[in-house]
Amino acid sequence: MAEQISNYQCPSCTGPLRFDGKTGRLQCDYCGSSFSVQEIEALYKEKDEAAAAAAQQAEMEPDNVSLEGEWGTGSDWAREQGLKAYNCPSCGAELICDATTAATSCPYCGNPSIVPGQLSNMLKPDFVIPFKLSKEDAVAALKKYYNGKKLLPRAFSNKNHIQEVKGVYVPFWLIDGTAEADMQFQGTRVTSMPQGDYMVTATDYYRIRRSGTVKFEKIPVDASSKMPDAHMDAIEPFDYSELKPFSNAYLPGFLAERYDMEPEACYSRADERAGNTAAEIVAQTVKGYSSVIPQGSQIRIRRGRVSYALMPVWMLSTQWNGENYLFAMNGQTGKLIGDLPVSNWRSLEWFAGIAGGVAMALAVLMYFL
Amino acid sequence: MKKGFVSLLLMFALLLSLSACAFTEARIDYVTDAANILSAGEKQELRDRAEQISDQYDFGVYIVVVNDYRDYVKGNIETFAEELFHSYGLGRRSDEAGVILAMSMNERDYDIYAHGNFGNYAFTDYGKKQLANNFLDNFRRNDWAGGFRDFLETSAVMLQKAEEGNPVDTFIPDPVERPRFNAVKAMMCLALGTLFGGGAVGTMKRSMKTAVKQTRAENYVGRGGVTLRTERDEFLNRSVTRTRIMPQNTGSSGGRPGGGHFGGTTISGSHGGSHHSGKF
Repeated sequence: MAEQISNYQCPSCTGPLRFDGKTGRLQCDYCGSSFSVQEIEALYKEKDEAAAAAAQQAEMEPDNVSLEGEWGTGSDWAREQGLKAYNCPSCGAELICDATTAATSCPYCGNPSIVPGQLSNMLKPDFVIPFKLSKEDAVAALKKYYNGKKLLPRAFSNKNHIQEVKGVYVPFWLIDGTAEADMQFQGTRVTSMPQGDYMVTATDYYRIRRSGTVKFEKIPVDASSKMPDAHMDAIEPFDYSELKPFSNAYLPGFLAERYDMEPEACYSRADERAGNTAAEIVAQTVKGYSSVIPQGSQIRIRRGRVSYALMPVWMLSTQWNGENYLFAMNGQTGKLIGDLPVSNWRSLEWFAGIAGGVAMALAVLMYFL
Repeated sequence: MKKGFVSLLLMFALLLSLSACAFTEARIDYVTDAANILSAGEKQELRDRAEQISDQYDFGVYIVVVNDYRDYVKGNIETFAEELFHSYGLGRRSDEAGVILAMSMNERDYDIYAHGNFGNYAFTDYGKKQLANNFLDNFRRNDWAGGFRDFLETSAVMLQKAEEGNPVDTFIPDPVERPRFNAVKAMMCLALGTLFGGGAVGTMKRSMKTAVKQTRAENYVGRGGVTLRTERDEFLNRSVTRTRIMPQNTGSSGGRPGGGHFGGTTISGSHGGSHHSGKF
């Protein structure tokens, strides 16, 4: 029976290959050879198809799949927990993965492994944006992110160590659609002119109506329940000019997840964003008034095509004072975000310094002026 | 008998000059309030101080308030002040040296009229403007007694300076010695400092939280993706309000700056005095 899992081996030395973001090629760390994505795709096409078919077969007949480990209970436990067990094609060790894991690495031999069945047929993504930035770039970006954060506890940046850095291809729905905004406002135009000893101010009131449509393309909404929405939103935008047709060959060396949230569960987030933006754009066309007060608005969303894409994200986590801090970096653009702890003492120091300084400066000004 | 006759003559002259309606006061005191805007106590206090200054510098300092100057003269507030000053024979010394602040409540007009060599020397154009600035802030709050006190005290300073040979022509000191820094200013500084400090620390705290959900999608608007279908602006109605303009003090009219014998004082009118008038 074919393996459900595959790893890409160097055609020259059979060492494991990994995708290198800097060069955009698959790299062998053992012999130094590198191969284009197309070369590896062609080489492994049959193997990937066989693995995908095996995975499909396993899904249909789960009881026939031999998952018993040496102790005979590990795989049963995994199945009960909603996990999946695979055998590493390199060393044969059993890999216990989430049901949505599409790419991982063997904890025993370290070989990057792909689960083609997770990303094939109906589950196959339309697009992928390959990683451009490395793990070292992510660590450097986090250190740089600490710089200039005046309220960060000193011990956090000095003593704290990054606990985990993972490069993850996160599943996203890219949602097209059109938002129709119909808005009403009340506007005033004010003119003043002197007449004798009086200033005469005339205020003209207008009823204003604007309606229009705004077309949106590929609003990204992360499709993994494991990923915090705020983190995934905050690392936007991705540069869609680098969207590529999906290939498993971009995955070796990184983790990958398949979606576990259907598009229907994600529409509301895209709808809200599209509606807000359409209302803003239409409202901006009201010009030439002294004041504009919104009186009402109707927003209708018509959804269009939905694409499925994997986006590169570096996830960095650290612990401090018993709390976890999670950071995310856009693996394409390098934008890094994450919440940092705030030192109350440093807040007080800065408050006292600024408030005292301003008060003193004002006092001096008031004394001499 | 002779004194009574002179008073009668003066009254007669005034009645002639104040054509529309007779000024009901039998005589002009240092402070005359025909509009009843001062309490008896305030009136007495101001009279005493005006008399004291007048005696000290041998220079008449007067305040006259009426409801409407047009009840007394044809012309403007300057005509009123000038006629009043000369009809009642105000002023000291042989050249009738003095200054009068005439106010008409109806249209909120005022005029400062200075007369005599020493009057025009002490009350330069610039000096009169500063003098007006000192009392106008009180009048705009309807603080009449406070404004008159400022008028008297500032006049005293200007007379003193003139006696020292250094009339107020470019700068007038605050006649009331006020502390340069006080508790109110200190509180203001602390409040503003707290506001700035709080705002700055708030901004710093916000920069520590960058994982936020997106609420906009402007990055994903397609090229040419905005189409405006309706653009209608419908006029509903118009409302008009009229607000009285508080004009800047107007300088005295006629003559030229530096005219007459005194630098910085514009002499105008038929009696050789100088004016500064405006609205309060």
